[in-house]
Amino acid sequence: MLRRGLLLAILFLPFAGVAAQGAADEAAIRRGEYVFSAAGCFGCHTDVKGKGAPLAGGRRLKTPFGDFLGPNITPDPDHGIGGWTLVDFTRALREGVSPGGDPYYPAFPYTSFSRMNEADIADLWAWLQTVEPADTENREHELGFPYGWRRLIGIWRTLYFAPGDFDAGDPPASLGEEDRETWERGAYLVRVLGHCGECHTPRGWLGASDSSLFLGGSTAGAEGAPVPNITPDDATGIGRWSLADIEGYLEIGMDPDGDFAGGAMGEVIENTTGKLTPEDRRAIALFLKSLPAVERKVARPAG
Amino acid sequence: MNIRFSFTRKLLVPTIAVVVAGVLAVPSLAATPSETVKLRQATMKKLGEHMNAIKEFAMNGNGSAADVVKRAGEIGEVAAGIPALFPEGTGMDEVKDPKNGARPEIWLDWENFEKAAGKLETESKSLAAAAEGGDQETIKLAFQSLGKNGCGNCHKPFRIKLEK
Repeated sequence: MLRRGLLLAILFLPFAGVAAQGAADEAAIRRGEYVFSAAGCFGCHTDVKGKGAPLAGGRRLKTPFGDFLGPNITPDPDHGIGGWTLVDFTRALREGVSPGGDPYYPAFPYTSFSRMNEADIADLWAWLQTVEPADTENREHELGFPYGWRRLIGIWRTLYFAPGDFDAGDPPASLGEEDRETWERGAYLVRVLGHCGECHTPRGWLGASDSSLFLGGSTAGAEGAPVPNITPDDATGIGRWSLADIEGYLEIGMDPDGDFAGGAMGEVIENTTGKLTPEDRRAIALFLKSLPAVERKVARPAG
Repeated sequence: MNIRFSFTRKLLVPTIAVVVAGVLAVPSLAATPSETVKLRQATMKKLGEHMNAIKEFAMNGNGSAADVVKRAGEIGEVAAGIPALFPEGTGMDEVKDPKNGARPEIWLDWENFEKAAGKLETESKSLAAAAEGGDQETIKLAFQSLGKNGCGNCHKPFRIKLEK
């Protein structure tokens, strides 16, 4: 009897192991899909206008430095990231270099993603493996002088790129102890996954974000549109928005004037913030309201 | 002339007539491009007021379903007139105005622009029907759909927001 039990156990244990492994993978894939939404990968890596396959690249991102064309990140071995390992992927996100060691242009927001935690990266990687491979070829960026000169990236990295782990820092003293965890989650969503500062923080001539004006808005955002100041300044930012106003805006795109977002933020609401949990939207709102107010009016330059 | 004719005809619904009178001293006369821009800004502002009031009921339960029916009806009437508010020559590059974010794509892709306005009309009818039915969850979903698909989907390709 005992022997028979042992035999059964030996026979079936490996299968039980595989089943548990499969369930763990499933969970990782589901979490990875959420990370994918929160990190907004779809927008730059999918040419929706040109009816390109999801994540097959080709979306044109117009910037003051020229046009960047998002690459194919499907698991295609020749044109996508099918030949990559998790180590390659982690290095791309956290250090901003390709598996071959070439630095990426910071249009790929690795300045933000550098602080992604390893669990999120592994989950995102697991989910990306489930994407339909597409053999869409990558296209060269079309950049103005001198930005097309790739060696500038090295200088830029030396001056402005500081990789490292995420540290939310200290919450403002006014924040209650019960909100601390929410605030830290909000900081991670805004600063890292959501990479909000990549558009909402103004940049200098070499493309470095001015951290003293964090989320203070940019007159020259991607797609040629001004990007609003989202710090809590009453006159020039979103100081008059309530937490509920911000949460509602992130969910469905309606601002307190009853206007609905279009353009790049419309995409972000559709692909990212509208897909987050209400708790995460609340965390973002709480964090934004806690930021130092930047008094800075942003509008398109006249003419 | 055609555009101007339908412009006055379609917009002479009670609410909008008030807006028109407020913006144009003599509403029956043809508007200049910059007057047209002002008129459509006033119209969009009115739509925003409606959407805000509807949101109060749909999301927070303040107000009444009957009010939502009325406001959704007015949004639908305005929607039908939206294409007439965008005659050629009133884009952001032609009429310089700090808030004129009407992208040239409107006229390059007029067919889809009209479709987008049509979508606003059908979405507002769905919301009115939902509000008549009275089920809070259905009203909420219809409101969100109206915002995303009626307003947002037109703003996405056709508008740049120049100022907060």
